[in-house]
Amino acid sequence: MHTTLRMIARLTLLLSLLLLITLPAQAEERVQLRITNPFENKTPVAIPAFKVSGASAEETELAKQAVSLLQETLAFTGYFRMVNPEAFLEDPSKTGITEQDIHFNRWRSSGAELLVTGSLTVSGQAIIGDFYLYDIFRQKSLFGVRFRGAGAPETNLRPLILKLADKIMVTYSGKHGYFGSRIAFVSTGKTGTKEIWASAFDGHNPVQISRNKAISLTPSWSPDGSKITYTSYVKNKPDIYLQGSWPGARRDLVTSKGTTNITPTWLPDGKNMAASLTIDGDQAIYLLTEKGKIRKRLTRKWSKWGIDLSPVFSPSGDRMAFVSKRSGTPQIYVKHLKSGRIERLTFDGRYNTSPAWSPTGDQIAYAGFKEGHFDIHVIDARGGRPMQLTRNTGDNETPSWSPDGSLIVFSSNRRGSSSIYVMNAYGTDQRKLVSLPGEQTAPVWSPNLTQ
Amino acid sequence: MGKTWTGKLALLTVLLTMLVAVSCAKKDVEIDPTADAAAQQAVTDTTAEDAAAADEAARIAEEELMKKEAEARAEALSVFENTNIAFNYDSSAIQDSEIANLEAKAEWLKENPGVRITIEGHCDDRGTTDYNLALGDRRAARVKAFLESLGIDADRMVTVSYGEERPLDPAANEAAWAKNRRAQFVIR
Repeated sequence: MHTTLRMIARLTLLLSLLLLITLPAQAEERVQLRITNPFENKTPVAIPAFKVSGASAEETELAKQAVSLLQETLAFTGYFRMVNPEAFLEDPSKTGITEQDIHFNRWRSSGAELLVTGSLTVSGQAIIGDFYLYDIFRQKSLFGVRFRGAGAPETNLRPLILKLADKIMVTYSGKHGYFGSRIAFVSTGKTGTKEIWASAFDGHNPVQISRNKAISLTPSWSPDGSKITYTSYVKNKPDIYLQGSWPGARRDLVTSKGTTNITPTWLPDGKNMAASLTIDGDQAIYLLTEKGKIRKRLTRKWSKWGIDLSPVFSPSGDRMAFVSKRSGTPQIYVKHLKSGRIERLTFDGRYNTSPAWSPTGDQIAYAGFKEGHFDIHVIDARGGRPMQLTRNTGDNETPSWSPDGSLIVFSSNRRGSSSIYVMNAYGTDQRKLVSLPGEQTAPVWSPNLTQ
Repeated sequence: MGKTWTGKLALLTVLLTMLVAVSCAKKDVEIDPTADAAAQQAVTDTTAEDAAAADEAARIAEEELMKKEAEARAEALSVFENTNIAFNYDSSAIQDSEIANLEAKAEWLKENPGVRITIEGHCDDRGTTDYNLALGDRRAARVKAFLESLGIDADRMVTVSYGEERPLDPAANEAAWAKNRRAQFVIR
């Protein structure tokens, strides 16, 4: 009798201790997200069917696609959620799309805060779209525009709608979106050999860029988005190349000087490059021209067998983050290029690599190995405690920021083979971005290209 | 070498015997030419047979020897090409356990002075692609430096890193990872 009671007491104590240990951590995590994550409370937007000038099936279909694309694009940003059309009490495609035709109280009942209406006129040579954005609470129009896209409607619809999405972003947040940007990545795809591919920012239309028929790795964009640099085994060893960022573009050798030439990147000036080369015995970072002429050694020879690699630059070009084994295991460091001062950035965990500098804030995303797998972390570039963005979902590596610093693209093998994923900068809304056969890795986000 | 000596002796014996036989035959033609000639012929035949047999035996022995030597050379080549040098996780240091293997490689390279090799550096797939490219390079470079210190000419050796791109075993367990962390030798 006594022993049973004691057992029960012990069990209860053990359980209480376990609960005490786990509860506070979870609570802390949730509170952190609520306070700092702007993606938690999404603005509800209503996008009812667009009006069409003609009655053809083709026009109606195009109008449907236009609405779908706008909904997907706005939802992609993480700032908006789409109001279910079943909640709509009005149909502007029939009752009118301009301000005098809108009954704001009906739209307020649907739960929407913003309303987009539109009308499309399609001809063989052009699409003309008239679009309006309304603030439902303030009961007024925020803008009315006419966009025209010359050429075949099928090819022109997408740029037209992305232009509209960008205008909505500027109106809403004061900043342009990134709808003209692209994602480059490595894919084994059809050939089975790793080649460089690129897709639109939303994963649309992925195409193979390199045709090397040799293992190609670690792509990086030029600041104007016209070129990609990468490492490839074209000559049966890892050498650095650059290539125009479209299929069939000419490939040029940057350097094959060292036994191992890897992790190339451009400096923000768009002229100079940095890469990790073995030209002096150790694996060190050098400043070089696009033609491969060495300008300066950026990391000193701290050991004959040293490893320094993966340079990335701050948006102003004043600092360089990189990976170094100088303290025994791979960690991330920041070098102040003028003074030469080097500071260690990561102290948490024994394997931190793949730094990516945010284009806007002074933040660095990286892949840190903890508890048996890699996760994406974000840390202030001046140092501090890292914030872990992925957890308990396989290996998550090679993060890269959207041009406005709001989203992070990365590779994940959470569902088996490695795929490209995207999430917002606070770690929520994680979802797969590109659908391709084979394995996809090493995504990098281009600058926003002029649309 | 044995064949030539035995052969020469056999030839000499035959010649001498023939010489004696011829001279003897001429001298003893009155006494009993046919008997002696037959005897001489028998002796000649026997000696020739012995010589031929000795020849054959020597040839077979030599063939056996050459075959054994070729097998030994093929074995040594196979060992050289198929023995990989192992490394610890995230390390390019030469382990004590691998020194004997490296010494054997140096031995073979010295016995085959014309041969040029590529030393490939490989990693298991647990790190990141970029870092493993660098680590693979360090592994190959250190093996090359070690062989240089054992007297092998640097010009004979080229290094290349494949990072984690060419695993021997794609499984995700300790045994596979250990197999993949290696320096591999390829004859150019």
